[in-house]
Parts: sequence; structure tokens; C-alpha cells
Amino acid sequence: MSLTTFIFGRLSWALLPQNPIAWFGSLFFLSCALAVPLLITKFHYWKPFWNNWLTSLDPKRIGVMYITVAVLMLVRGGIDALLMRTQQATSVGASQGIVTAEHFQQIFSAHGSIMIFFVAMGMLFGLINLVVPLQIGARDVAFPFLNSVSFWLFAAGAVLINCALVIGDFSTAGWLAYPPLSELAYSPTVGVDYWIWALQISGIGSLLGGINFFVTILKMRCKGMTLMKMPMFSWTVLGATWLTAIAFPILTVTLTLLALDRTFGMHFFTAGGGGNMMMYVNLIWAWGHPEVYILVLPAFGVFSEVVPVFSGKKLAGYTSMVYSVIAIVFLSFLVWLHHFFTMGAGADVNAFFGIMTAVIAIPTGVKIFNWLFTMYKGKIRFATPMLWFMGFVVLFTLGGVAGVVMSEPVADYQLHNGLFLVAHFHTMIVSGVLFGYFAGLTYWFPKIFGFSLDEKLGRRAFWLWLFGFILAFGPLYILGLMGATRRIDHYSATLGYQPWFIIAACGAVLIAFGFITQLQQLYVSIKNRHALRDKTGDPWNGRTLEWTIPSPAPFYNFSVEPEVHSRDAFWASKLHNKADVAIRQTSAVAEAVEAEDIVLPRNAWQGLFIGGFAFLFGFGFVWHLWWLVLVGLIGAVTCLLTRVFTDDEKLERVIPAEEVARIEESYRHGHASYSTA
Amino acid sequence: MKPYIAKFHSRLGQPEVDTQQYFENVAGWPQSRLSIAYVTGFILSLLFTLAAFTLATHPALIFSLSLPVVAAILGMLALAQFVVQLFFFFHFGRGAAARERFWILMFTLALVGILVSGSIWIMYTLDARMMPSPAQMEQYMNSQTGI
Amino acid sequence: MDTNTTTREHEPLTIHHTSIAEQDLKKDQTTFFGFWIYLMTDLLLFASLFAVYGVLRANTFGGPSGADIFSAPFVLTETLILLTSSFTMGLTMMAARANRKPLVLAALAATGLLGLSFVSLELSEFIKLIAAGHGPQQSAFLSAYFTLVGTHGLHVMIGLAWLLALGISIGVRGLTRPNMRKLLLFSMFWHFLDLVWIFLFTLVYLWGIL
Repeated sequence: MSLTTFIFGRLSWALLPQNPIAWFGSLFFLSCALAVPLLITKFHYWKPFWNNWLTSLDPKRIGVMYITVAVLMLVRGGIDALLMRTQQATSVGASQGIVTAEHFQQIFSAHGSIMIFFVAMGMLFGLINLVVPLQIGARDVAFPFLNSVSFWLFAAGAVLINCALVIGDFSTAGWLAYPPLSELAYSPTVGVDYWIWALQISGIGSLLGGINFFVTILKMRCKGMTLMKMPMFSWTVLGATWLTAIAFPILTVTLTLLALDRTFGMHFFTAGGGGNMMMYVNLIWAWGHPEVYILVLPAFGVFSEVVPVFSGKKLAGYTSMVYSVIAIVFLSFLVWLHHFFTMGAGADVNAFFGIMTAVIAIPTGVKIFNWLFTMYKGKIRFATPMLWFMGFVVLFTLGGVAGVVMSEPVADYQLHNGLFLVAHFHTMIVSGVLFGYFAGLTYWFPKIFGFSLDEKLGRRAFWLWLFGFILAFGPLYILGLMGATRRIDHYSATLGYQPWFIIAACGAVLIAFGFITQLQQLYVSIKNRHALRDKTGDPWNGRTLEWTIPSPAPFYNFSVEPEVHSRDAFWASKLHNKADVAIRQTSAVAEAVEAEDIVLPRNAWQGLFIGGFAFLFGFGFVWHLWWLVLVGLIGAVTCLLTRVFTDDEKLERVIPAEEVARIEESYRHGHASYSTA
Repeated sequence: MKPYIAKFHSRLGQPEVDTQQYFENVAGWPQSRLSIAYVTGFILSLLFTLAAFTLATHPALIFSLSLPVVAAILGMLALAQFVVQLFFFFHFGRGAAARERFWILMFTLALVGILVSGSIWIMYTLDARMMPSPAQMEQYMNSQTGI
Repeated sequence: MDTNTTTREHEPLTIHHTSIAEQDLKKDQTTFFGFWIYLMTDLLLFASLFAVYGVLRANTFGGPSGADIFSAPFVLTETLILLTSSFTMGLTMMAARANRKPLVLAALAATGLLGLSFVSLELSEFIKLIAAGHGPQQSAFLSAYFTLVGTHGLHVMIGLAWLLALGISIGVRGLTRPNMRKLLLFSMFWHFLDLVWIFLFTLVYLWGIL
């Protein structure tokens, strides 16, 4: 091996972007990446940035960082979507559209990978970090340092996948990279390697996060909160984190085996050497199906919080809701073959998995009915979170029915890998996962930041998203039934697809406007934050523990540990104390401020550095820079060792009760703001 | 109104940990005779291991059994040793915490069973229906020059 | 329990105080439980690898099969070494409970030496196979075999590194609370590796030899 190959691996100047759109993407990413340190320097914000964000082990801070990265990745994934819609609307007959076929394949692969792994998982972990400790009456998660490592690994994966914009290309094999296309023989460039390592690194972050929150919910609930008194959002997170812990190791293994094939010439999934590429499909979906339930269960949980609060009634059928979560968790491991009915396993196998797929729709149906029963005879307030629910309940039910159609193997043989499928899963993910997370973010925003989001812009964003979605994906159902395949970059004019694709493109533009409205909402709300301030800590007349503390939530969450004696203890307390069930003026627990010494973890720099070294490790593997791989590995392990060898005492700090009392008093006098919390 | 304040005793005054009680308090280990558990576990595991190896290397000699039956017996010996090591080395003991860990293990093993048996069932039927016949495979292998 | 519960009559939401000693115990118990969950995820990892091996074990692509390359006496040696190391790990825990630091270090060292022998034997087998041209690149069966057994071996190597760090920590600081906790976690990890090995030697080696 020559010195140049050793130092530079597979890197080469020729691998910089080759066309205007690619250059635009590359420069956009680079300028965003540069803008952050430049702005921080301009506002002399480095020290607070380091102390309050980069090294913070506060789940509320980590949650905000997760969501920030997720929203940035949503921009990237959304631009990919707009490019795809434009291509499919214009590339008919003689016209070749705006991108080449090769580029189009990279775009749809990037779109799917980014949306699932970085937008949805990012928002998921963001919401979980922000809300779960507050809901269960805890001051922190079970493993705060692990939480930080999880986030920074996630961020490292996000940066790595965006590097494909700048140098090298991305995978053309779809968001799941099936072999043999993803094997070296048919994808000799670095694209699939970028895909593998971005997912592998962030996947390990997700796995650790899943373990962390599973343990947090089981072990750190406040006194008196038995599992059956726990809020439904926390129940769904319990289910989702168990699924994460069990399913992600399968992904880790599968990605590793593909990497071993590509990098070390092994034969797990290759066409030759005895490899079996169908095993890849089997394994990746054994992970992939639980993954979609990981995403959607907490969204269901958000609705289980939002619907009772905005209907003024308790959640109907709490027990059946809990059992349906458990049923969904178990059943989600028994349906994975429905993603490859057509691979040829035969009638017996297909029948079993088809029946199980139809069965798993039942617990979801139970949930939908319970939400509707909750609304029945309730005093409904159509605030933005409730609007997201209304959009969800209609669209998700329809899209779910489309799923049941495909659960029948014979029908699926016609519909598999067509646009009907694409429309179905986008309905599930957008109206289920995304609307759910939007509702959750709007609902809990005041608790985290101390002021509410602008209602008017929130409603406008909702309607844009709703109609945008219907316009963008309604035509896809029709196209699917007309026989259109997914991922087509060009088609004949005689097929009659183009009008539908044009409508879909208009829908995508509406969605883009919806997203821009959300950004506008954020900007306007920050500008008007004093007018929108949450003075009581309970802006929605809530039912659960997170609304008992002031807004923005102090870094220690609870000045004294709560003890609950019923479900929705805060609501019960309001009724018991015969307080006006409209917005209350004081904290539920006591008239005087109560405080105690609080033990919390100190900040830690290792999480950030482990993420950085993980990025170097991944980048090195992609480009065959073996020295960089070693640097990354040794660096990450060294950071870990410095943490492991630090005394327990030095890892914590005690906040004296007087300090806690002082902070609580400052809320009473309206002096608290987000930066001091 | 004066705040109600609860103070904790300073952490620095904490005594050395009581090693005698530590594993019982934290992990629910039984207080009596750990030694019996480890020795019994070791001997039983040894016996199962030696039995398995003897059977595998002399199947015809010992019982004139068919291969699948031998494989099944080996599997059962493995399961037995698994259970032995689980109970004698992991000290499940009594109590709610131990029960919790036990049932989580059972759930995980159930999912492991589903994953492994499901994958093998699926791949076996796929293999039978979709993979090339030995003759086709031979032809393919002979034509390969390096994939 | 020295807690201090403030209750008002039938109030649904009250206050609770937990002492620092209780908090410390709770933290150790939570870490212990969390490590158990990590072991569950590791179980799934190995399960996936076993599934892959099960599917690919017949795909020898003209190369050797299990019967050709496995040696029962060799695997028996490896198995007995690992089993004994599990036993010495048990001795370590007994010594720790009795607060006998020199014994803890001795038993830990024995565990480490046995583990090291296990890894060396496994590595030598791998090197022999690769030198004979039967490396993981030859066939799907070999890829699956090397990866499954190699992953277990990698876990053992990480365990040995952990053992070294733990031994040093105990040697320097003694049987403190953090070290007791780490010993507890390490012992679970080490026993877990022997649990996985049971299925490895049965399903891979013994079934392969049959």
C-alpha cells in the first residue's frame, strides 16, 4: 500500500459534487455547519454553550438538542421530497426531469433514511427526554451520562450522512439497502458505506437510549405511582423503549454483516460464495417492523395525553389502552414478513403472517375508539394539539385500512412496492408519527420554554399540513391502484400518471409552506414570548405531574418529590381541593415553597467527544482510512475510561435546599426565564 | 411564609460499604451459602458438558441413535446446563426484583425463539422454493471468476 | 425505611422525601437492573447471529464444512477453561462478600488467566484456519462461523480489558461501593458469556461434528 493510499484511503477530488443541485446541497450543508460556530462566536456564547448545552446531562437540554437536529434533518429530507415530486411530475416521455436516474436513486434513499433515522427517531427521543422524567415525577433519567452519549452518537450519525452531500455519493439502494444491489459488486462507491455507518452509529445511540428510558420508567417513578397509575404517554414510551432494546441489536448485526461483506469480502448476502440475500431482507424487516411501532406508539401516547385534557374528561378505557400497548409490543414481532410477501416463502408462511398483520390492527382500533369515547360528551377545546389529533384520527384510520388491504397476501402481490404502499406508509408516518409529535411539541413547549407557541400560526400550519398531505398522497393511492411502481424517475406519457403526479407535487409545496409556517410560528412566539408567557405552569389545565411545576421547568424538575395516590393525581388534587378547574394560580402541592437538598449529576464533556470520535471512526471506515478508524476507536474508549475511573462523588453535585427555595421563589415573582432554568 | 426545607446528611460522612450485605441489598442474592450454589453449578455444568461431548463424539457407540435424535438430546443438555447456570451463577433468589428480571428474561427468550425459529422457517421455505438446485449451483460455481 | 411522608387526609398528591442512603441504594439497584436489560439486548444480538449461522451453515460453496474443521477435544478444552473461569468468578464474588481483598484479586487474576487462555486458543484456531485458506472470505458458512464465534471472542476480550481495569481499581482503592457495584456487573457479564458459549459449543461445534 502506498503512503498516499494509507493516508487518503479512497478519497479523491473527483468525488466532490458533480451537478448544480448536488453543489447546492453541499454548500447548504457546509454553510449551516459553519454558521453555528460563527454565530456563537459573534454573540460570545461559547462558554454558556459549552456549559448549558454541549456538556449538559439535563434531559430537558438533551431533548431540545435532539429536536433541533431532527428539525434540521427535516429540512434536508423535505428538500429531497420536493426534488422527488418535481422529478416525478416532470420526467415524462421526452423530458428527463431535473435530475439523472442515478441522482434520483440517491435522493430517495437519502430521503427515507433521514426521515426515519434522524427526523422521526430524533423527535421521538427528544420528546421522551423532555417529558418522561417530568411525567413520572423523577428528577433525572436512570443513566444521565449514557443519555448524553446517546445524543452525541445520534448527532455523529446525522453529520456523517450529510457528509455524503459534500464528498462521495450516497447509497442508491433505497432506505434499507437490499443486497445484492448494496453489495460491493453493484455499489462499488462509498455511498452504501455512508449509509451503513451513519445508521450503525446513530443506531447504537438509539439502543442505549432505549435501555436508559426503559429502566427510567420502571425504576424511577415517584412514590405511589404504580404502573397502572402512570400516564399513558409514559406507558407507550415503556413499550417503545422495550421494542428499541430488543429490535435494534438485530439492525446492528445486519448492518455489521453487510459491512463485513463490503469491506472484508465475506459472503453473508453476496450473490456468490453461498450468500443468501433473502436473509438480509428477513433480518432487516425483523428489525424494521418493530421500528415503525417504536415510532408510532409514543405518538399514540401523545394523543392519549392531549385528548383527555382538551376534552375535559379522563381517558376512556385506561386499562384497555394499557393492554393494547402490551399487545402491540408483542404482536409487532410476529408480523415482519408482510414486508416481503412476494419474496416467495409460500402460502403457509404468508398466511400466518397475513393473519397476524390483520390481528395487530385490532389493538390500534381499540385505541382509536377509546380516544373517540373520551371526546364523547366532553367539553372540547380545539387548540392546536387537538387539531393535530383530529387530522390524525381521520387520516390514520383511512391509511390503516389501506394497510389491512395489503395484509392480505394475494392483494399484496398486486400492490407490493407500488405507490399504494408508499401512500399507506406515509399516511401512517406523517399523520400518525409526525402529527403526534407536532401535537406533543406544541403541548409541552410551554413547560420547557416558559411561553406558549402562537396559536394562530399553529392552526395555519396544521391546515397547510393537512391539505398538503391529502393533495400529496391522495393521488399516490390512485396511482398505486393504476399500477404505478415506487421509485420511478421517468415514465411513459401514455400511462396517464402525470396529472396525478402534478397534484402530488402541489401537495408537497403546501406541506413545505406548512413547515415554513411552523418556523414562522417559532420565530413569532420567541419574539412575543413575554406576552405568551406561561405564568402558572399549567397553561392547558392539565391532568398529570409535569403541570405541577413552574414553567420553564427548573433544571431539577421537582423541588420536593411528589407522592401520588391516584391516576391523574394533579387533576384529582384540583378536584379534591375544590379549586376552580380552570387555570389555577398556585402550585398544587403547598402554599409555601418547599425544598430539599437535591443531588444531580455534574456536566460531562465525554459524551460530546465520544460522539466526535465515533464520527471519525465512521468516516474512516467509509473512506478506508484505517488510521482514522483507530484514532476514533482509541479516542472513544479513552474518553469512556476517563469517565469510568472518576470517583462517584466527583460526578455529582448537591444543590442546597436554600438554593432550590430561592429558585422556586423567583418563579413566584416572575423573574425566571429559560436561560436560568 | 418561610420555606419548608429538608436537609440531607453530608455524603462525605458515608461509612465504607458493608460488603457482607451489599450483594443481598442491591441484587437480591441469598445470604446463606453462596459457595454451595457455585460448586453445585460448576459440577452439574461439568457433567452436562462431558455428557454432551461424549455423546457427540460417540453417537453410534453409546446408543445407536439416529442423528436428529442425538442432536435433540444435545440441545436438551444445553438447555439443562443453561438453566443450571442461570440459577446457580445468577442467584435469582426471591423477591419482586428477582421476579421482574426473571420475567423480562422469559419475554426476551420468547422473542429470541420467535426470531430464530421464524427466520429458520421462513428461510427454509424460501430455500426450498427459490434457491437454485444443486445442478444449477454447480454450474454457477464453475462459471464464477471472483465475486 | 427512614422516609418522611407528609400526608393530608385523602390528598391525592403529597410529598415524599428519600434519604441519601436510600438514594444510593436505589442508584445501585437501578444500575444492576439496567445492566440486566443490556444483557437482554446482547442476547438478541447473539440470537441474530445464531439465526444467520443456522441459515448459512449448509452453504459451504465447495469449501470445508463444520465436520471438516471442528475438533472435539479442542472445543472441549476451550469449554472447560471457560466454565472454570465462571467458577473462579464465583469465588471472586464470595471473597468480595467476605471483604477479603487479596483473595478477590487472586480469584480475579485466575479468571483473567483462564479467559486469556480461552481467547488465545480461539485466536490460534482462527489463524490456523485462515492460513489454510479457510478464512471467512471463502464461503458463507465460514463467514457466519467466524462472525458468530468471533463476536463471542470479542466480548470475552472486552471482558478481559474490563477485568484488568477492575482489578487495578480494586488493588488501588479496595472494595469500595463503586467497586462492589462494578464487580457485580462484571460477574453478570462473565457468567452471561459462559451462557452464550453453552449454545455455541452445542449448536455450532457439536452439531457440526455430528
